[in-house]
Amino acid sequence: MADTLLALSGLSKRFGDVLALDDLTLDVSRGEVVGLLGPNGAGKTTAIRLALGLAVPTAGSVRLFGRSPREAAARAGLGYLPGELALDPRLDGHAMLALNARLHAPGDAPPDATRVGELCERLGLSHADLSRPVRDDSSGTRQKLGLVAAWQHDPELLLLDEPTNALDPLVREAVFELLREAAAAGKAVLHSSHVLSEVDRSCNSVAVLRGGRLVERGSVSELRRRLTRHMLVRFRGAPPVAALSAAGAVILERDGARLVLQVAGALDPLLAVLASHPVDELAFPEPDLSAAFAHWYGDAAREARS
Amino acid sequence: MSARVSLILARRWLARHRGLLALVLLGLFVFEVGLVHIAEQFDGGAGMQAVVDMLPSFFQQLVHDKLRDFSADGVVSMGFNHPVAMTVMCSMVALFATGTAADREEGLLGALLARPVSRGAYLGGIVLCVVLLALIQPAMLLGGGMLGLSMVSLDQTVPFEVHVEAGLGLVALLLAVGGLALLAGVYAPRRGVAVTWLAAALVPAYLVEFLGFLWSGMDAVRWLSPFHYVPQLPALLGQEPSAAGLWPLLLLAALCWALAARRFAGSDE
Repeated sequence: MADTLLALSGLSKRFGDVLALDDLTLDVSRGEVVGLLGPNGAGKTTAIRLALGLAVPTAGSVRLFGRSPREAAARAGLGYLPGELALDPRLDGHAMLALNARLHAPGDAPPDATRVGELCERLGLSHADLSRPVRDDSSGTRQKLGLVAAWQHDPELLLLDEPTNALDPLVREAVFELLREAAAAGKAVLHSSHVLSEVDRSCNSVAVLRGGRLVERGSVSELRRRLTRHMLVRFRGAPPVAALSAAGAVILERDGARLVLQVAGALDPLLAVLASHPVDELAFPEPDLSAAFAHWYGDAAREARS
Repeated sequence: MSARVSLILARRWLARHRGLLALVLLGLFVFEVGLVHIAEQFDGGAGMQAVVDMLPSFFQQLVHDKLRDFSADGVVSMGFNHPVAMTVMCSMVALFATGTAADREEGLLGALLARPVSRGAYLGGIVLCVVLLALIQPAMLLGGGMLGLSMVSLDQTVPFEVHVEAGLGLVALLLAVGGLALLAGVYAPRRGVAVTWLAAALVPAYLVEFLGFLWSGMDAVRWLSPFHYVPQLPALLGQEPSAAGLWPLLLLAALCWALAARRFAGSDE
């Protein structure tokens, strides 16, 4: 089977006068956990609904396992957790999962009780939780049920829209672990979220949407490398200001021999300058994606304010 | 695969409404048995004639033909087109046929269609329920009528087959109502909206046919009403119902199902 499980190509979706998604091109391949990042209204859910065939694109195309997502067979290897999870309130957990298993079973194969049991155990769903009508469940229990339903048929591709909503920290850890295991097993995951730290932890690549457009796409490590970062240096003696500038660093603050530098791109020239001068203190924190988030959305926020 | 999925979804609908469905089916059966017993209280049409003779002549003329309602021939058919039975049966069909709007309203439609469930199979599940209800509800009326007649001493002149044919007319009517409800459910954002649209179409249509039965001034528009094509009224009057009369209803049902499938196949959900 081809490595690309989901291919969105030049995808646009218009609702009346509103262009919810504009020319989105995005692939999700085996072994990838792609974080689909963006604030509310960025177009993440629209992109997922188009990927599922729940909406018809205004322009562009979607290929799910090489087929149109409107074909039922294309969705057989798919697990989906919607952002606004709705479960039949009349059913209990057992009945809900059994119905889901029957809809996914290629024949009259019985549901994989072992897998369901293992998922329930890892996500902290007890027999009592599964025996209650869904309407009596807490939002956290419902979210766990939704996760089990998305995972129970061992899908090749998972589309998860805000999967950790309403979950406690321990269960979130279990979800991250499941995501890592899925990637290691050659599955693919599209993890939509507006929580940056989660994407930072769970994904190996990121696609960032803003106003319906893709503004950034790459691996997490690539994005980190491209980010503007801050470095704190205290020299023993006069700081080599000219050499630092020549190495690409921008001096943001200066307090005697103590400098706060802004650096971007390759670090080799700067490290060469530092190595040739005595340094008393050096702090160079690992950048997280929140710096990128501020960078990507800072403009949008400013536009919104103006 | 699609047929199997349709069956799974039909079972889902039936399980969801099983309590109400059992109650309605029992109610229809008991209702028809009760009608026969009420007719017996008036000794069939003859007993009712004595009551009518006491009314002013205008009313005597108006209800002359309706006296057959209280005969053994007419009492079963009366149950078939009684407003209460008709309302209950059409409501049950509408409950199932507007399932698309209900799932949409509860947010379940997207989750179902994200699974390997084709839109055709989804609607197929609803159509299966509609067909089942269209068959089983008239069957309960017919069964109740037959049981009731076996318990009383009213003379019967219309053969059982005529009642069965009248029942088939009701089946065709319920299929047509189901088609209209399915179409409304596919378009409507909520079940309440779909039911309102359906009621806005069916209530005037029923009144047109009902008034047309009493007043010839409605003849020009009676053909527009689906209720006009239900042949239980000829049965009531002792005439043979015509199977040809069912075709407009079956065509209406097929047209609505096709339009609903076309709309659903191309819509955003």
